[in-house]
Amino acid sequence: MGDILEHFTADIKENVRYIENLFEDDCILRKREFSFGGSSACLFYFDGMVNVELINESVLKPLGRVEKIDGKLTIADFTARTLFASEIKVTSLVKDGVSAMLYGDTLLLLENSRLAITVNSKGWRTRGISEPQNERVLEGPREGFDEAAMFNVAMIRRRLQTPDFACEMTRMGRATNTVVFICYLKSLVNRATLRELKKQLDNIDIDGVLDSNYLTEQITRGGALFRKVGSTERPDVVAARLLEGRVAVVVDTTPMVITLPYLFSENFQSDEDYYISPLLASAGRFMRMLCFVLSVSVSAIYLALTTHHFDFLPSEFALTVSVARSGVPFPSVFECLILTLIFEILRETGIRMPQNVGHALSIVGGLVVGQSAVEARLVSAPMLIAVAFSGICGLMVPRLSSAVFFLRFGTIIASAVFGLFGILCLSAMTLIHLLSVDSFGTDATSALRNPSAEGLKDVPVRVSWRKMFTRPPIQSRNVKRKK
Amino acid sequence: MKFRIITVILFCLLLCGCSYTEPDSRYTVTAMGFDRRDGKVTAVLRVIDATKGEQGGSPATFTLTASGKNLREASEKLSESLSKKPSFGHCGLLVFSENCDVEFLNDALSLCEENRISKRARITVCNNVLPLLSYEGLATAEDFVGIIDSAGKKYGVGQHSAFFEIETALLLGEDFALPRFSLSDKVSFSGLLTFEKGQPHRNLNLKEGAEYLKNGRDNL
Repeated sequence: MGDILEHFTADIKENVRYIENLFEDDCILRKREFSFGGSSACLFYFDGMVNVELINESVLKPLGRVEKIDGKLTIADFTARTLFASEIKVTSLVKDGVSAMLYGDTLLLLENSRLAITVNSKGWRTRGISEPQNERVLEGPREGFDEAAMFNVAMIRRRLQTPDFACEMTRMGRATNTVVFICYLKSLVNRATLRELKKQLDNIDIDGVLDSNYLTEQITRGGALFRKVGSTERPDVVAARLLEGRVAVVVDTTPMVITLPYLFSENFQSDEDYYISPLLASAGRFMRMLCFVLSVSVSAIYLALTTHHFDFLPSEFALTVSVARSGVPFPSVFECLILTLIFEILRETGIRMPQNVGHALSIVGGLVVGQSAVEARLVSAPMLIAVAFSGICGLMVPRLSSAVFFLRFGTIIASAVFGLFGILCLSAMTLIHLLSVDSFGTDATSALRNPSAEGLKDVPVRVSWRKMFTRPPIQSRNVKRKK
Repeated sequence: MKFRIITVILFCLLLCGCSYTEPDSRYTVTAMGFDRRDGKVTAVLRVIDATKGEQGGSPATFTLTASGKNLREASEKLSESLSKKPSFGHCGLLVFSENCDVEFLNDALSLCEENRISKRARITVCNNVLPLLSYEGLATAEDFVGIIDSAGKKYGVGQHSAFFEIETALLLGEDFALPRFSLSDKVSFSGLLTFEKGQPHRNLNLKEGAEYLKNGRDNL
């Protein structure tokens, strides 16, 4: 490739040659040379990214009908007025023209003009709106984001039909040039949070952004045990979070939308909580909280009781455990770790497999292998039950899956070495860490640290909308939700 | 940071010790007995070995004995004869021979406390400890407790026999009564052994015992 051309020149042949050279190894670049009103023109686009019919109808047909160019106007102005396209831009910068073309626009180069025209002709295929597989609900909206950021923003805007909704666009990734939208409600957003987010995004220098997690990991600092940024595939959830004064980051090519700041209590909230009765929603939250504690501690407590504090167990139960353990060749701690690992492998495999195979895998893994392992005296039945129960409880809190995974192994090792005291020490350390988690200037546990009647209305329980007067404690500029 | 982590680990180890033992590497002690005859003290343990026994059936139970000049010696000999670590937390029964005085009871209870024997354990007396604790038909402390409770319902006896209550009575120097078993026909609850002024006072048969509790000592 020769010299870098910053501005288009008046020589159309040079411009065309430059674009061709720029994408000489790209076989999906399409070029169409034509003339109108005695002047030659050339358009460029990428096959598969544009709506070809739209180009024919809005660019080629109108220009084909031109017999003479109005001499009072420049050729660029004349062309721009002649095209039928809904959105066109005139630019002198090669970078802008190429960038637009890469995002599905058509680049139109004109003879004797230092200006080029970009026509919005985006027409790539999308997956379409479908129900998110990971965030299914029984009641409430079923719409989910797809991989086209522009449509995703439109889905959010459809729910927030107010001029207060702001959407800023930026591009990230040197090679991918991924479109990223920052959405918020102007009257509610915490400006400091917004500023911090923009600063963090500006500091990112990476070749590619293929998913929102590329950004998530780079805009959050500190340990990754607990999430500091929320993510969802549901437009209604994003809209609800924007109404709480949060910021959403929509990344092109992924259905996962980031929201921040993120509170620890959100891990126990279900998307459905706001569409069902408050009593049922509160019960669900209580169960999720309980299951989080159980999933981390059940197998560890069982291990501690049977190996360190055997005398704490009721006599009958102690005998059952002893009898079940007899003949098992591995130490209890090894047995517990291996079973937990096997459960995690089965869970991971089940997720990645097609649904039908996943069911078969559950039956084979859970029933056949489990039953056979107990009968072969490779593991003891009570330990298998404790680990399985712990694992099932963990499935209740999918947003805390990574924390549960590491904490579970941590508590098992702590209980094997120190017994119940080790579990207590690890719990205390986890709690200290949790209380120090900060998400973009907001304490992730602010509702617990500074409890108030209003602040707790949507944290451990979900009160009726009639009584929900304020937004969650995330330092929104306007805390009042209703009068 | 490393120093802090090491300090925390050491602190935890100091507080909890290294008590990791597999459940099948323990003997579960269900009952314990002490006998004093001819200047010798005999300690008896009734234990369950979960690793032995019929497949799918009850685990194996057996009785261990050791004798010494005093309680401590007998107890040490008993511990040495065990191939697995004994777990005393499930010991639900302490049996003493009829000729134990309060001082002996006191020493025995101190020893039990050192071994962290559950405070829920029932205390009984019998004329001969070893045959009682070796009796095949009665495997656990619950079996003895069941007999005491059923007799208690029938005659209004069987009170004041728990470890904690006896310990308190001994500390306060109070008189008390212990349920008494006999081995004449089969193991059965036969009456009460009363302790007054630090000595075994008298054996009451079941009927007398019932009268004793109903009317009080003065009316006996």
